[in-house]
Amino acid sequence: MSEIAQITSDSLAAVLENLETEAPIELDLSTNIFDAVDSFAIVDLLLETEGRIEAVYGRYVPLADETIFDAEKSPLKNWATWNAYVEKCIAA
Amino acid sequence: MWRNALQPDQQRAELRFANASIRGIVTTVGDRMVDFVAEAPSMGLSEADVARLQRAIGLNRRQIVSGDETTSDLCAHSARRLFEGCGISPQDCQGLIFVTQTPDYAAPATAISLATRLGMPITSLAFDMRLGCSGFVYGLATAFSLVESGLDRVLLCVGDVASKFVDPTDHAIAPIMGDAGAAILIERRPSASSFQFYSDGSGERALIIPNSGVRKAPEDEGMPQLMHMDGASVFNFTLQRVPSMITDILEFGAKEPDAIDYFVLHQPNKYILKNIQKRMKVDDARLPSDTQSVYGNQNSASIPGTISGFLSDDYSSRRLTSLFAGFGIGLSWAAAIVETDAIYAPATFTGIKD
Repeated sequence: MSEIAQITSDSLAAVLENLETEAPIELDLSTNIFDAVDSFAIVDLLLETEGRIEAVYGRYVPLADETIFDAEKSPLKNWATWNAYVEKCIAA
Repeated sequence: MWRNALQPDQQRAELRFANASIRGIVTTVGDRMVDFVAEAPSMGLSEADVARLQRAIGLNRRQIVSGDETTSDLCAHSARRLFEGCGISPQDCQGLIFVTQTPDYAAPATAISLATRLGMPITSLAFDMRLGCSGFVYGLATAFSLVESGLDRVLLCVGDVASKFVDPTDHAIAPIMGDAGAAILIERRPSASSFQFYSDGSGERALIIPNSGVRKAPEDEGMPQLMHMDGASVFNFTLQRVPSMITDILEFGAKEPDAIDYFVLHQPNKYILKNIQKRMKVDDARLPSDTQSVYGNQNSASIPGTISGFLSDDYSSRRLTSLFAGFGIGLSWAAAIVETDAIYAPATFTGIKD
């Protein structure tokens, strides 16, 4: 698992730990997080991921943009897309 | 969806002023402090929900009115303190603009009775402006226009008792809203300022109080007359529009970011403000973001509310260049770069009973 994939999956695990979801979320590359959790959990995931990126890379990388809550374009609708999105944000 | 990206050659709503400035700012908040942890059970929130909402949005506590106090009551209190502090008689003020979404009545305009309550002469002008979170910047520009056009002084009153138009059990919106009313005195004095304005009615339903006017829309049938928020749409709108607006007003005002002492933005939630701050590469101290956590979302009063709540010493004591940005319901957003010089800016007043 790449460093970024580790960060994203650890972040999601931390968020889900305190979240009551109707059914357990099985994480694979096609998992749709956007439809599985509420908007506050998404903001929580952004915060958690940004915090872990800052701890590893030593700088703050803002992850939220106008696509995050877009029902059609959100990178969180597919876990592989989310990982690619985070990688792109770190590289920017 | 919001309309397409702005065209660079598009005619913009932009204004510059050279002879209008802020003399003082006073903010009064509701007297009742509501602790988020204490109210959470009534909204069906678990301890884990509370923890993540506190982290994600910055919810902590808020100030709301008790009883039947209105926005105009809060603004009247602020205005009286403002006139006293500036040593100005209400008789020497020729205009009052009242920006709110919670007027005393649907008709007549609240500004007229507020002007009378304050002791302003019948030879003054008074009118309401129905705007929310962008309202302070719009009201300020309108007041500046009136002063540049000939009035000596204009009183701008902004605010809302937003707690009265939310369902108290709706955890998506009730714990966010605070009640505040601010008064700002504008007078003729050499001072440079720049303003930009934006409006996009295609986002009308992102924040709306259904059944609150004459229109009876089929999709509103049976819906309570309470604020409804599509949080995801508002979040997307903010991140799409606000950073670019800040870049544009800096360009229009011919200022580098380092020339701005304070970026005082509307305060919807801590995460959005932190995101904007980091994207704009502005240090923490120059972009305050604690208003939501202490007072709640003060709607059109959030910019003066942030100055009164967290920056009163600095605004009271020295010359400052500020960037103001308001954004929200409408959708409506606006920004300004304004100079102030040791204005009257006491700390926030809590409640109107003094």
